[in-house]
Amino acid sequence: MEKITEFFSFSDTTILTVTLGSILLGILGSVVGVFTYLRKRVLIGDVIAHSVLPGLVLGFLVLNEKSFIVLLIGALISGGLSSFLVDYITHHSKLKTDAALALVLGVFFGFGTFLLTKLQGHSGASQAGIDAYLFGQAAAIDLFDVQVIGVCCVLLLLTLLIFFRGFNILSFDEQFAYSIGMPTQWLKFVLTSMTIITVALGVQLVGVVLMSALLITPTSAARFWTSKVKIMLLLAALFGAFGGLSGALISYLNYRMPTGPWIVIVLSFLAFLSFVFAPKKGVLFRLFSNVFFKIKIQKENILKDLFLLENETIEIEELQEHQPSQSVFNRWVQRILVYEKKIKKMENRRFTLTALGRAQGSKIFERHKLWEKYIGKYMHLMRDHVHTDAEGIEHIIDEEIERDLKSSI
Amino acid sequence: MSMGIDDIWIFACACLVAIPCTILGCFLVLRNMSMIGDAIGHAVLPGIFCAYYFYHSKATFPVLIGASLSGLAATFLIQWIHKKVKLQSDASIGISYTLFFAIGVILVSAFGAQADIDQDCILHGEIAQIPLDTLSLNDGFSLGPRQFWMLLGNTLLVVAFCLLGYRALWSTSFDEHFIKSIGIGVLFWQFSLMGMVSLTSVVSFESVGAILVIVFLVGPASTAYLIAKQLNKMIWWSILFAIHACFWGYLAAILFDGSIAGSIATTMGIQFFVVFFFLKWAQNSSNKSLDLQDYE
Amino acid sequence: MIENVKDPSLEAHNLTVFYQKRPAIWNLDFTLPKGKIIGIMGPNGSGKSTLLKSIMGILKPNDGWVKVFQRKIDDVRFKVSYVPQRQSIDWDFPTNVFEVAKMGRISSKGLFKRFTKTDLEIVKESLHRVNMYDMRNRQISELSGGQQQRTFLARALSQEADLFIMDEPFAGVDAASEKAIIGLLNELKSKGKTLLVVHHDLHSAKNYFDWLVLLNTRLVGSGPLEKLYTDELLSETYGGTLTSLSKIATKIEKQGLPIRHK
Ligand SMILES: Nc1ncnc2c1ncn2[C@@H]1O[C@H](COP(=O)(O)OP(=O)(O)OP(=O)(O)O)[C@@H](O)[C@H]1O
Ligand SMILES: [Mg+2]
Repeated sequence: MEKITEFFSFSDTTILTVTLGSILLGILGSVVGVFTYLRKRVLIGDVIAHSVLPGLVLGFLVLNEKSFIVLLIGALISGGLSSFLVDYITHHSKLKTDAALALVLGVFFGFGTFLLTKLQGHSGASQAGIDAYLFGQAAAIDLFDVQVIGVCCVLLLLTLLIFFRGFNILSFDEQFAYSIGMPTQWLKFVLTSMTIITVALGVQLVGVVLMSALLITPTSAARFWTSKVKIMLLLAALFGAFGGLSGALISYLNYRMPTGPWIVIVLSFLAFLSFVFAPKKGVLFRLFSNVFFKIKIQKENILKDLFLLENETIEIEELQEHQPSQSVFNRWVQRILVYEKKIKKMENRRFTLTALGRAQGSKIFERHKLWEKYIGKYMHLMRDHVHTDAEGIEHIIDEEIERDLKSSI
Repeated sequence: MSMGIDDIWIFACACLVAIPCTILGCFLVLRNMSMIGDAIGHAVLPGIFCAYYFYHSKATFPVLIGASLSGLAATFLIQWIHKKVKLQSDASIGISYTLFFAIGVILVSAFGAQADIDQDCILHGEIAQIPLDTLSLNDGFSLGPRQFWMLLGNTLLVVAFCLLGYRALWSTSFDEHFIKSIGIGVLFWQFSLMGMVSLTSVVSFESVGAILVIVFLVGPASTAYLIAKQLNKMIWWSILFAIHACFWGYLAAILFDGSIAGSIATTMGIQFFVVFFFLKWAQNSSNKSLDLQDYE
Repeated sequence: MIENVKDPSLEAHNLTVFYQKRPAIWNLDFTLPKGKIIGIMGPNGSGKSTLLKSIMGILKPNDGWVKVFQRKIDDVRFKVSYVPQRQSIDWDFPTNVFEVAKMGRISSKGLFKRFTKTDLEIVKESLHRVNMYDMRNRQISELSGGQQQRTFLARALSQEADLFIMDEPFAGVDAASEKAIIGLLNELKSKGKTLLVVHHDLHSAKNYFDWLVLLNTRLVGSGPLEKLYTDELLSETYGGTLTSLSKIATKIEKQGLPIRHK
């Protein structure tokens, strides 16, 4: 507890730089990730992330010192080369994208590790600096790095703002974007460059292997809460920032805990929460919406049957056949209906409609008839099948469709 | 530079990693499941860590199975996120494997010292150390490296699996709908294949690490895919390419004194591009000569 | 216009298939005769492939059932041969014509039993019948559209089935191949086989088929060609979807399929 307050007081500048760096990178990664996600090119981010390794090491080998800028340039070159190669291979051979991605990713990484062992032999002392890029080492982020990250962050976000509309259209329909004369090639180039820069900045925090999580996970989580791109960007940024902050906090609380992987775990946790609990798209919501819909159908069926019973248009036996026996579910639904004052309880476990219930029952019955007529006229169903179909659909029909149906009959 | 018996053991082990990987890799490439193979390679890490942590001994049979289960679990997670949560498939691969790998890295950095496993090991394995850990009979007669026998066992298992399931594997890769239409389940074969990939990743971990397995899986297989006209020939070619790359890769590693697994992976990449550009060149020149001729 | 037959080769009842929550085919009810060439027609996305897949049990229907030769499909699979849409597979796959045709024998030999001489004879015979024997060693990526289709037909023939279910065998095929294929279909018909063929071209349909099934998510008609081939029915099939129906479909997509209250 004490440590937590200590952490948030940011009295220590190292804590401040690390936390700030983590948050900024979290935001940057998620925001850039939104467009790679929407363009269904998520794994190219993964490939770029693995592929910056040889660039990093070469940059280091050539200059023999850990200069952030040089490493960045090395990473840019090898990241760019890898994404170019993936496109080149898939365009010029029968190899599918998937295999090309895996191949380029692995080979670049392999070359990187090969160079890395050279480096280890080369100068043992400096090796610590480069190790950070493999699994991430937030603690290695210093003030200068944060400044670079900050500047890049501002520049990239500005670029995003300027090209927002272009990126948006490009992501949803490339063909369309091309047809209205947008410079799609150029836009794609800008997007890829942004991804590469983000990756190059981010590997210091989470490492080359886990970098793609920063691009993918917050975005996927955000996707479950909204389908508006702007809100998605905001949400993803929020998730990313939260992930960065929590990662920094956890590794501060226990020095053995690495920041990068913890950021990934926090982000994954957020993503799974979103998958399960998000409204509309979430797993739980979909489960419940089915249940609610079942209740609605059962309610309407009871009302309709009681209505038919009152008008004696239906035999009691036939009704029994329809009504699943007094199941628990059925009794529950009856209780709801009583509560809603649509039906009243009579003696010997019978029910009767209230005025409200009667109106609804008759409406449902009307729709049922209407649908029967409609499909009889348009759908060429056999007589004996018309009824079963109407049983289901009557619950779907709303005012608008009812008007439609009436006009077409 | 001198070659000794150890070099032969290392080279043999490299081949025994590459051969089962590439056989399975052929099917991964043909099924467009290479990235899932990559995900499995990463995702076995927590399983392997637990095996090392709890058993110390690295190669007992239940440990191998246990660790492979974590790779298989990742496959199920990917399927679940894709099918039930309804996320696009590439994103579900990305989320699942980074989660598994993150857990693995945390475990290794927090408790790695107790389990005799470190980050280098994840990165490119310790194939160079293989000859140090030997099996010997009671009377002291050395049978060679322990890892060698494990890799050999895995290779035989994979070969047996592919021979037995050859018809099933190729026909479900080629035309899944048709196979379903004659009433044969395809899911079983898909998951058996994933199980074998998972087991092979676990067994190969000690030699080449968790990440480079993907090159062994798809590198030679993709190269063979470019030239082969028949699946069985593709598999033979890929084995040939795999051994070829192991040879030159190992030689380069000795020459430049670098990571063996990294060097072999690089060689596999170079090999792919050599074949790729050669084919492109051959195609172009044959097109040109066609232009010159009057063909009937 | 739906005409039913006694002793049908195929019977569908209330057949409904949803993708996610959008209906691809809805409440199909029809019976088909034996020993005829039957055309399934409808615009793109009208659910033709979906219908074939649900007949073969590749897709599980959300409602209703199909019976083939009055049995469940699983009991009569060996009598049924399915030819998928040509685009559904990857023609870059490293294999040759003979191997593909040999796949047909898996339906009787299973995944493990060895192929015998008779099996290979059957495969050869099938290749001869589609005129592909000379090309048996060709890699499949080097085939033309018509040749690919004939390879698929050879595979179907080597299954020695009684009912053939074909998804667009004429798509992307030149006139000569089309002629050869229809010749083969007629030959099969004369042997008492039933052929169920998805087809696009209205014009040639008149000459090819004995029976038509008109589909547009819902069933527009099923019956003998003479009765079905009317302007009214055809324009209904190809005339777009009914507005109310598509509105309902959109609502179903949002809410889920109403559970039939039995
Ligand atoms: N796997 C799928 N997931 C979601 N929707 C699908 C899937 N397959 C088909 N659909 C949709 O279902 C509808 C029917 O598709 P189907 O392939 O059966 O049409 P079709 O009549 O065979 O069309 P075509 O003439 O183009 O072959 C289409 O609207 C299609 O978009
Ligand atoms: Mg179709």
